Amino acid sequence: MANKPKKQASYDLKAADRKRNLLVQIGLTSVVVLFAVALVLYIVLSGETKPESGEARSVRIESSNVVKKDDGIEPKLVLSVYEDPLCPHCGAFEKAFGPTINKLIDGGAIAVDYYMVGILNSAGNQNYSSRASGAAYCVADESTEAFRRFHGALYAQQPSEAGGTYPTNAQLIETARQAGAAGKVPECIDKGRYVDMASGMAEATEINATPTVRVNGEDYQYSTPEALVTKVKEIVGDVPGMP
Amino acid sequence: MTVAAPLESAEVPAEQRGVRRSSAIGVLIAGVVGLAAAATLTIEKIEILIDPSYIPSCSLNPVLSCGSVMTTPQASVFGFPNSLIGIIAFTVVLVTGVLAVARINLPRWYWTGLAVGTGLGVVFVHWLIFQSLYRIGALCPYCMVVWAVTIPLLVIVTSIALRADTGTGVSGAIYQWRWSLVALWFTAVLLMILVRFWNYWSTLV
Repeated sequence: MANKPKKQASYDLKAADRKRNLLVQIGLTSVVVLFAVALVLYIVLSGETKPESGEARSVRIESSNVVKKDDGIEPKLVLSVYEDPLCPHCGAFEKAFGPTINKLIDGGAIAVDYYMVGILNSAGNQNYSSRASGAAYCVADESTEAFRRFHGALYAQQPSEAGGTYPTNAQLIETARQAGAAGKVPECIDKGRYVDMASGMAEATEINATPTVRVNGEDYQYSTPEALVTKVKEIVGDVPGMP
Repeated sequence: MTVAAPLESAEVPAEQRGVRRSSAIGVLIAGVVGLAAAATLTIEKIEILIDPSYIPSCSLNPVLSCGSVMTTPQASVFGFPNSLIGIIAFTVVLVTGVLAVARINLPRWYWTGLAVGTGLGVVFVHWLIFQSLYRIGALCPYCMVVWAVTIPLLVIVTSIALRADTGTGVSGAIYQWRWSLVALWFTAVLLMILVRFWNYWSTLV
């Protein structure tokens, strides 16, 4: 292994040298290997790292036949929806636009990025905004289909902002289960993996109010579902099955 | 001294004359193992072609499954099964190994050619590793044998081709630490496999 045959020094010394070099080499290599293995095992076993406040993750919902841009990769129209689970206007928006948006998704006209924003936290509601938002991300990790059901359920059973009782984590887990998300979801909700991220979402995405709707990144003033459909048609053209 | 001296004197001229014993045996082993893997893959591929419902011997579980890997486009990048390349290439390696073990002198250009060929093989192997892990999402055990054999083979053959004539500096250090680098490469690939399929591995515990 060693390659210093050039100097014709004493062979005994060289042999000892070489042996020592070899041991050093094996030792150092084992240390690096063990360190790498231990590090990776530690990261893997301690679960995925918690996303921090300031990260802006969205849940992308699109059908497989969504209309693409000319590059064939990105959807032609991405509707970004920023919602707080507790805000009454978000509930109203979901009631009015939810079915239309779902049809647009399923028909392949648009892709939707849902940003779950926690801005209405208070001690009174046990930070329900961020807990429910975080729970939605947990569900999305498991399945986007389950996320759609969970997201719908959050607004269908929306608690009042003004007061009353607010779902606990255990109740959120139950809602997630009914939406079809199992796996690591209970643990994720319980540990509040995405809660910090949801709390920082408004700042990270620079929105001032919920709901905020953006079409391909530009703020969109929504009025009626019909107007939204018209807007979509302007951009992607006519898509079969459009509402 | 009496022990070390003959070893030393055998080694220095050996770099002019032929190939060190351990290297020769290494090339031979790589040839045998690689050829066995490539041949098995080819045979399994033929079995699948004869009977599409055939389950290859290496389809052990959802992750370790050569059936799903062998039927992907990546498994026939050049229009024919990759394993055919393996059969040809590892046959050359095997014959070279036999010649080297028999202490037959091969010209330096021959070793250089083999090193270049093995280098191309290493590039190909890395592409396959990437595809297997992150595009196909399954591992094929026989393919992994080929991965595992190709890297050490490149190290051995390159050392022979360069006649370990690397001196000091960066190349000298690389030569000195070459087996450490191989060990790190194996560690890296194994860890990548571990992380990539952690969801599956963790269900086995």
